[in-house]
Amino acid sequence: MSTSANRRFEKTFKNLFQSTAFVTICILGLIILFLLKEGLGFVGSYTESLREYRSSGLEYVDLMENKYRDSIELQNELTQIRADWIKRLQDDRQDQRVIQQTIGDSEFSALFAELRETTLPLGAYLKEKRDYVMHARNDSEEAIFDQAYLEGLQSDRERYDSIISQLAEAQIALTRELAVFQTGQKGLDRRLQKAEATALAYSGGVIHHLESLSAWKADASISEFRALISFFTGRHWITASDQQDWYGLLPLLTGSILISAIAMTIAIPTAIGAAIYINQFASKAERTLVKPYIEFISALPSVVIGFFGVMLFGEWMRTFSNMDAFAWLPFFPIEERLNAFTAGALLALMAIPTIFTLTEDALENVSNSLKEASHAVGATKLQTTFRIILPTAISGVISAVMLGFGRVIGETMVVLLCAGNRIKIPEIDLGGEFLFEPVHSMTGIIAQEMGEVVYGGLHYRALFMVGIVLFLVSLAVNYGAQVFAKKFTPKMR
Amino acid sequence: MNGPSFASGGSTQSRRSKVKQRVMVVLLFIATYSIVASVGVIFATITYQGSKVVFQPQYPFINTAFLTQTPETLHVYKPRATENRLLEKQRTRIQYEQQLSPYAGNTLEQQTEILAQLEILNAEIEELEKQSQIGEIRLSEAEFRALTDKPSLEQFTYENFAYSAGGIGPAIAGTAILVVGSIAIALTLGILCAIYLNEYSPHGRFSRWVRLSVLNLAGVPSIVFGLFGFGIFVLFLGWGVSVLAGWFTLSVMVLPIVIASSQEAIRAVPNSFREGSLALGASKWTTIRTNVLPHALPGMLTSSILSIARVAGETAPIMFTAAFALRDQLPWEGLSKWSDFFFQGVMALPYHIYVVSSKIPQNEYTLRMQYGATFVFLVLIGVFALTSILLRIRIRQKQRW
Repeated sequence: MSTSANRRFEKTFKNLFQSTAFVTICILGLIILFLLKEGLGFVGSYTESLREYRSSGLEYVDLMENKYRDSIELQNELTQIRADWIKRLQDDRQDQRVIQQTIGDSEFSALFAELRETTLPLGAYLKEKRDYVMHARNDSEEAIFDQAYLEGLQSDRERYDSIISQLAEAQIALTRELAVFQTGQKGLDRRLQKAEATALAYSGGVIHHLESLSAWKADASISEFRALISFFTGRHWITASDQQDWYGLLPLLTGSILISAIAMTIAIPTAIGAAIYINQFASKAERTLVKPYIEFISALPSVVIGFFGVMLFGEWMRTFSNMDAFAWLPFFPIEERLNAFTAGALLALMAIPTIFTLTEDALENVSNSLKEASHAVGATKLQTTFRIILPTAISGVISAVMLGFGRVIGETMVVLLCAGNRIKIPEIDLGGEFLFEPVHSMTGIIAQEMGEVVYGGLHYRALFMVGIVLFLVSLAVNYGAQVFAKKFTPKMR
Repeated sequence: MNGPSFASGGSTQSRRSKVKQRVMVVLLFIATYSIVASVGVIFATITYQGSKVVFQPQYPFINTAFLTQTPETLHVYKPRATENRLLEKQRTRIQYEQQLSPYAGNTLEQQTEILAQLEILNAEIEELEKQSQIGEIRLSEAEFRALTDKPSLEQFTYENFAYSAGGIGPAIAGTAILVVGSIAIALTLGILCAIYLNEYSPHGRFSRWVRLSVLNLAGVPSIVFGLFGFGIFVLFLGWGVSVLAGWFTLSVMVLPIVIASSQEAIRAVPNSFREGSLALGASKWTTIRTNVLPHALPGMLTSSILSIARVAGETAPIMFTAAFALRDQLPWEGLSKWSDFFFQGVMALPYHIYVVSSKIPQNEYTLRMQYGATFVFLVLIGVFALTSILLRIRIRQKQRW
C-alpha cells in the first residue's frame, strides 16, 4: 500500500471526526444562542408593553383601583370574622336565638355599613374610568393617547378626591368603633385589632395616595432595565388578560424553591443515610441487591412518579391528614390533594438515586489506610464512619447534594402533575400550612403554557426568559458541584 | 484497687457506645429500606393494577388487543331506573351519616339505631350496584358509531370517557419510532465527537473548555431542551409538531450524555494500548480501530442503552415537538407520500400517560387505560435500564487491565 494513499485515508477519517465534532459543538452552542436570542427579545417587548400600560393611563386607573381593592378586602375580612364568630358559637352548641343575641345581627353589620356605602360610588367611578381606557386601548388600531385623551381621563379629579375623602372618614369612624367592639373570642379579637390597624393605615395613606396620583405622568419613561427588574421581582404572572399581561417570576420561583426545599429535606438524610449504611454496615448480599435497586430508580421516568402522585399518593396524603390522630397538627387536615408537599415528597425520589450513588462513590474512595488507622487507635466503627470517613468524603457528598438539587429544580412532569398549579406566592406562616398549598413552578409553567403561545409574541418570549433562568440555575449548580468536588478533594491518597 | 474500677468504667462506656452504635445503624437501616419500600409500593401498585389489564387467563395470556388497538372514547349506558334508586339511597346514606356526627345531637341509642339502618342501606346499595353493572352497556367508539338505534335516554343514563376504550398501539409505535431515530442521530454524532475530542484534538484549553461545557449541558433540565426544540424546529424551521422535530430535540437532549460517557469509555482504555500499537508502526486510525474502539465499545454500549431509557422516558421535550394527545392511526397508515412520515405527529407513551392521568377523571371506566399504559411503559423502561445495569456489572468484572 502506498503511503500517500494511506495518508489520505488517515486524513479523511480525521476530517470526518473533526467535522462531526464541530457540528455537534455548534448544535450545543446553538441552544444557548437561541435561548438568549428569544429570551432577550422579551426585555424589549415587555418594556414596550409597560410603556403602553402607562401612556394609555391604565396604570393610573390601577393606581386608583388599589384603594378600592383595599377597602373591599377589609369589608370581606370583617364579613369573614362575623361568619367565623357564628360558626364558633354554633360549634359551642349555642342556641340559634342566643347566637343572634350575642352577635347582634344589626350591630356588627352596622359597623361597616357606612364603609360599604361609601365604597360603592368609588366602584362606579372606577368602572367609568376603566371603560374609558379600555375602549381606547381596544378600539383604536393605532393607539393614540394624546393630551386630550389624558385630560379626559383625569378631568374629574375633584369628584374622585371627594369620594376618597368620604371613604377615609368612614374608615376613621370604623376605626373608632372597632376600638371598643369586642367579641370575647381571643382569635377573633386579634383579627379585629388587625382590621382596626388596616382601617387606620387606610385613612392615613389617603393623602400620600392622592399625591402620588397627582405626580403620575403618562410620559414618564420606563427603561429596559426597569422592565427586566420588574420581570424578576414581579409578584403576578397574568397572561391572556383583557387588560394588561403581567410577567413576574416571583410566584414561579418561590414555588420551585419551596418544592425543591421539601424534596431536599426528605432526600438528603435518607439518601446519605442509605449510602453510609450500604457502604459501611450492610452485609455483602444486601449490598449487591440494594445498590443496583436504588441505582435503578434513576431510570424511573418522572411521568410515572407523577402518575402515582395523581392517582394515589395525593389522595393517601389527604386521607392521612384527615385522621383524628393527627388533628393536633396545625396544618392538618389538608384541603388540596395536589400541593407543594405532594410534589416535593415525590421529587425526593428523583433526587435520592443521584445523591445516593455519588455519596456512595465518595465514601468508597476514602483510603482504607485512614479507616485502619482509626480502628487501630481504638475507635468504634461508628466513630470511624462519622468522624473519619464522612468528613474525608465531605466534598464528594456536597457535590452529590448539589447535583441532586439540580435534578429536582429542573424536573417537570412530577411538578406539573402533582403541585396543583396555582400561580401564587406561598405565604410563609408558622403553622406550616404553606407546605400544603398548591403552587406553580418554573418548569411547570413552560410545560403548561408553551402550547398556547403565539410565535414571537410577548408570552412566548416570557417563557423563554423562564427557560434562561432555569438554564442558568442548572449550569450554576452543575459547575458548582464540579468545582466543589475538585477543590476539596483530600490531598492524601 | 484501680484495676476493677477502670474495667467497670470501661465496660459502661463500651456498653453505651454499643447502644449508640446499634441505634445509629438501625436509623441508617430505616433510611435505606424506606427508599426501597416506597419505590416498591409504586412498582407494586402499578404492576398489580396494570397486570390485570395487560395479562389475561386464557391463551395467549397477553391482552394483545390492548397493545395494538388505538385509544377510543368509551360510551357507557346504564339502566336509568336502577341508577335513580341508587342515587336516592346514596342521598339517604349521607343524611344518616350526618346524623351520626356529634353535632347532630342524637343520643347513644338513636345512634346505634342509625348505625343498624346504615348497614341495611349499604347492603341495598351494593345489591343495586351489582344490578346496575349487569344492565350496563359499554361501547367503544366504533361500536357506538355503528349503532343505528341508540338506547333510549329514558331507559338509560349516558356518559362518555375520552381515551378509555381501545388500546395503546399507536403510542407504543410512536415511542419506538422516536427512540430509534433520536438514538441513531445521537450515537452517530456523539461517538464520533467523543473520538475526535479524545484522540485527535490537541489537549489544550479548547478541548478542556468543550469537555466542561458538555458536562454542564448534561445537567440542563429536559424542559429547556423542549423549549429550544419547539422554538427552533417546530416554529422557526416550520416543521410543525412532527417526528423529525422530536428526533432532533431528543437527540440534542441526550448528546451531552452520550459524548460525556463515550469520552469516559475511551479514556478508560490505557495509554499503553495506543503506544504499543503506534510503536509497531500502525497509523493513528488503525490504532483507534484495532486498539481503542474494541475496548471502549462495551462502555459506550452501556451508556447508549441508558440513554435509550432516558429518551423513551422523557415527556417534557416531546410535549410540543412530536406528541399528539390522540391520533387514531398508526404512524405508517394514511400517508399520501413517503416524506409525510417525517412530518407527522405521533402518539407517545409517556405523553399518553400524562394525558390520561391529568385530563380525564379517575373511575372504574378509566382506570384500565391509566394503569395499563403506565404498566406497559414501566416494563419497557425497566427492560432497558436493567439491561444497562447488568451490562455494566459484567463489564466491570471483565475489564481488568
